[in-house]
Amino acid sequence: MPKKIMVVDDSRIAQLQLQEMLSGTDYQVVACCQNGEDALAMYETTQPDLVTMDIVMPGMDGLQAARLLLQAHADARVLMVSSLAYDDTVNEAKDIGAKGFVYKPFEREQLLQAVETAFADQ
Amino acid sequence: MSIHQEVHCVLDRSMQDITKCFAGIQLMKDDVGLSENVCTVHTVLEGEHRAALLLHADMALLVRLAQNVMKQETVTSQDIEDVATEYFNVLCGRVAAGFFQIAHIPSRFQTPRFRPGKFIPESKSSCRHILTYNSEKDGSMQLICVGLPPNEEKNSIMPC
Repeated sequence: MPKKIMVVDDSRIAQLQLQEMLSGTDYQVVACCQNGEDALAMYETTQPDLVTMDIVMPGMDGLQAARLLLQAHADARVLMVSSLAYDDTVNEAKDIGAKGFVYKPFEREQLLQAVETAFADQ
Repeated sequence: MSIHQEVHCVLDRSMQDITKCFAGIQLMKDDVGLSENVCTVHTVLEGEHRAALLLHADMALLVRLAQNVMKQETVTSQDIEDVATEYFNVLCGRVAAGFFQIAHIPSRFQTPRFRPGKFIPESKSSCRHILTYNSEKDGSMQLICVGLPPNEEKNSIMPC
């Protein structure tokens, strides 16, 4: 049974890219949302195995959403997928408890490697 | 190298790298002017130092960008807007990371906005960089970075 992925990104293009790269793998995108608030609400109903989280989004940003998500669901797996990738944001994501950080733009292999690593401690 | 030159290098490297990686388009620095059919994508870098970042791009080049990213010849105006906005979002992330490397100052940026036409910041700041590029056959792009004083109204731009 494929593992369920929820994509949180305000960009339709990024959502499409992630869906396309994950198609035909052991992972399936089951939900997409465009901001942190929606992600928190949708997590409850979707119960994904992994959440990919952008940072720059309207409203609540991805780091704040990841923090709140992991406070409410300590077993949630969050993988940051963002262009805003430097020491400050990468360290903050690590401190929050994110399982990894994929820098945009990325290749399919990079994404799959990061997703596999995020599940490695299962 | 002065800080002004370092900022210029970050902008140039980010523009060339991201355009190649994101859309497979090789840009060359060039002073060829933009056409009449131009769109603007813009945002504001927030942090200790604020700056408006804008991209002026020929529509023909934005169409090529969308075609390459979506891997299809037929693209809608919504596709063009969405691809241009995500491309600029990725570009701004790279620029923010570059600025962090040279100044160790963390910065975030607002969600980029797309507008048909050519706009410039209302800021009167003299601290600005304008980098112009040309793609072999699809037109030109111009990346503009303008320093903003801390109290200036956010993301205020006007047509030019």
